Amino acid sequence: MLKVAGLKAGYGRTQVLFGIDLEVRAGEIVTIIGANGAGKTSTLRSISGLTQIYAGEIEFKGRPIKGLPPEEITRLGLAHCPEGRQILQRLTVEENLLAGYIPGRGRSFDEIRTQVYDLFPILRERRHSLASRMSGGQQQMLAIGRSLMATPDLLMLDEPSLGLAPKIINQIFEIIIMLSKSGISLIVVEQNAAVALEIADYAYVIDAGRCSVEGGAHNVLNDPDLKAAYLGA
Amino acid sequence: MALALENVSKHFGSLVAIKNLSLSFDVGSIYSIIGPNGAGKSTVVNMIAGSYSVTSGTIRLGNTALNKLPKHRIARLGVARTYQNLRLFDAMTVLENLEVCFFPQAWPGLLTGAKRMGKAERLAICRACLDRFHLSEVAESLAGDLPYGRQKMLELARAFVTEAPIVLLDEPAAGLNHTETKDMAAMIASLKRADRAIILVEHDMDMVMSISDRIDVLNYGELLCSGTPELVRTNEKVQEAYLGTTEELDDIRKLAQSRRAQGGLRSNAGLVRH
Repeated sequence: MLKVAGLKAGYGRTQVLFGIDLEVRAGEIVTIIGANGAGKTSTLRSISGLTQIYAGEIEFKGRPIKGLPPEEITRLGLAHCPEGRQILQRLTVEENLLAGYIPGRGRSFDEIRTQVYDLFPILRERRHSLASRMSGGQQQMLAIGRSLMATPDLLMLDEPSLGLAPKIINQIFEIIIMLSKSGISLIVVEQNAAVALEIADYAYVIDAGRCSVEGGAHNVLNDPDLKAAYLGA
Repeated sequence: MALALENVSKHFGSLVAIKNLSLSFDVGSIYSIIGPNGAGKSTVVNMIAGSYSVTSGTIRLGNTALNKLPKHRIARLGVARTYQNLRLFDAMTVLENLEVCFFPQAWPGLLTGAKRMGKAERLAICRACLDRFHLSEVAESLAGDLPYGRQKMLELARAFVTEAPIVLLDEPAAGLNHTETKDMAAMIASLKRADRAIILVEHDMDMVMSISDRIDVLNYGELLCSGTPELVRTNEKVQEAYLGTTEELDDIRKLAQSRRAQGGLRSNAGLVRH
């Protein structure tokens, strides 16, 4: 589905990624964990075409996507749900969904919207509310719903549990599993590494812009050194 | 000194965000306000700090009603706060970010009777504070250049530098990883003092449960439960509304397992260290 090789990237003169290799196979949930500032978000941003890439290759569904504009990458079926949700606060729920819709991927707005509303009934209930009036958990659901409007084959979620109540975090992770079961491949970046590793198949640990460890998510979860470093246990 | 909310309500148009809430906070303790997203936690902080007006009811600090005062007056009376999203002055140094707390006047004078503070004294206080929060070595760095964890620590330092008796912390652990959260919890716990009330709004339950003397749980703008961490943790209503039950976590694990059982994925791949 996605292959990243030797990725070096940054912002202007500030390099933040020093050689990232990672792969997402069709149907997988892959998680990226690491300390703050390690380069997790920058990795996602690079894949989406939002950083300056100095070297390396990015291949999505067998096609090189490095250097393509972000909207073109989304159109190919790679959606990015950014950290901090980035909801359009002054628009309604439904207008936010419309903003995420990409025509020409074979499905009508109404059709996908119905699917998103089935997945998040609260969004249907509040479809005419201003996004700014929604709680944090509802806004996160809206952000995920908006990404789904692009009918992605691969969805990248950056810190989906940030600032949410424990109960809502459970719901979000349940939704991630449902999305996976519906055939979407996922990359999940999380501070909440313990739960992310519970639901993921494969994990990459990023440290100072490099991939330091990778492996089956449960093996990462149960490794004593990694546990001490990233799970605080 | 005590801070008290008496029958406080807050409406946003037709939305009732806080409904007849009464709470009191005494110096000497750490309090946590928890509850679902949208329960009204940040609204409470914003009303105490004067960022929001109250629709009805009274907020008192000692004998002074706060709810008719502008927020800079409330700050000078000794209510300091942090924000959910960092509000540092990115283009100023770390030291300057603390120094601004003492302008336009050195308000600790209001409490201690001391006269207006000179620059040397102000700088000494700020430097001691940076030391206390392990920020001395970055004193001259621009706040905007610090890594996120240290920015959070600076925001915390700024809330404490003026020795305010009431300190409101809005999600101090948000966006921090496990290790940083533990450090943050230890730091906040160490700031507990007989002449200071610390009130935090927080979702990280490890932090909340480990440092709070009392936890107030809000749900739909009303007090659902209030008490010690042990009492709150085991309260069924709180689990149902907010904490989530262990059954829910088990359900997620089961779902994840059934998904993996379909096979063909790299779930069992060994570790590779690069």
